[in-house]
Amino acid sequence: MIIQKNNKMKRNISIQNRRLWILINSFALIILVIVAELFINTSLLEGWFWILFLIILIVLLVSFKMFYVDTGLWKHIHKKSKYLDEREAMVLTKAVRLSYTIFVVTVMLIIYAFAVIEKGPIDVVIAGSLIYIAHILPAAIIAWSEKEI
Amino acid sequence: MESRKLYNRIAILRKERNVSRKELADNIGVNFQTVGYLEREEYNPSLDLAFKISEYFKLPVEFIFSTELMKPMSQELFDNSKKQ
Repeated sequence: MIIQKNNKMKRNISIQNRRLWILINSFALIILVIVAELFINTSLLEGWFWILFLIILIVLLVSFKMFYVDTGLWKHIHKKSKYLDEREAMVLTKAVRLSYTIFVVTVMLIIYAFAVIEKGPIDVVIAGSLIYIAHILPAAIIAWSEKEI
Repeated sequence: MESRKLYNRIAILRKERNVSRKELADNIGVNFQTVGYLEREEYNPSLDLAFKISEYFKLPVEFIFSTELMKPMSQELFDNSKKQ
C-alpha cells in the first residue's frame, strides 16, 4: 500500500453530525425532485418554483460538501486501490455491495410505482436524481457507519 | 462467516515506546485510522499485517494478539519473575 500524505482537506466531523448531514442531503434531494415534478406536471408552483428550487439546491450542495467533501470521502472514494490499506479496501467493498442492493431496490420501486400510476417512462429529473444517488451512496454508507474516516 | 474477536496489546505497546498512531501506521503500511480500529479491537488484521506489527515491535505475534482476553502485561511480568 502506498501511503498518501495529503490530508489537508479533511475535517473531523463526528459520526452524529455526518449522519445528520446525510439525512439533510437525502431529504433535500427528495424535496427537490418533488418540487421539480410538481412544476413540470402541474401549475402548482408557477411563481415560486425558481426560489424554492434555488433554496433546496443550496441546502443539497451545502450538505453534500459537509458529509462528502469536508470529511475527505470525496478523495477517499476516488482513490486508486493501491492507496487503500486492507481495512479501507474491505470497508469500501462492503459499502459498494450494499449500495448496489439499495440502488437496485430503489430503481425497481420507482419503475414499479411509475407503472402502477401509469405515468410512463421515468423523466430526466428522476434519472438525474438516480445518477446522483448512485454516485454518493457508497460514501454515504461509509460516512454513516464508520467511526473514523 | 463471522470471525472471532481478537484481543491485542497494540495500544499499550505503542504507549510504552512513545510511538504515535501515525508513526506506527507509516511503519506497518496502513492509514492511521486503521491503527485506531486495531487498538479498539474493531478490526482483525490479516496475517500479513499481524506479522508486520510483530516485526515492528520485535515481539512474537502471540504476545501481541490473542483470541482470549489478555492478562495485563505487568501481571505476566510478575508471574514470570515468580516462576524464575
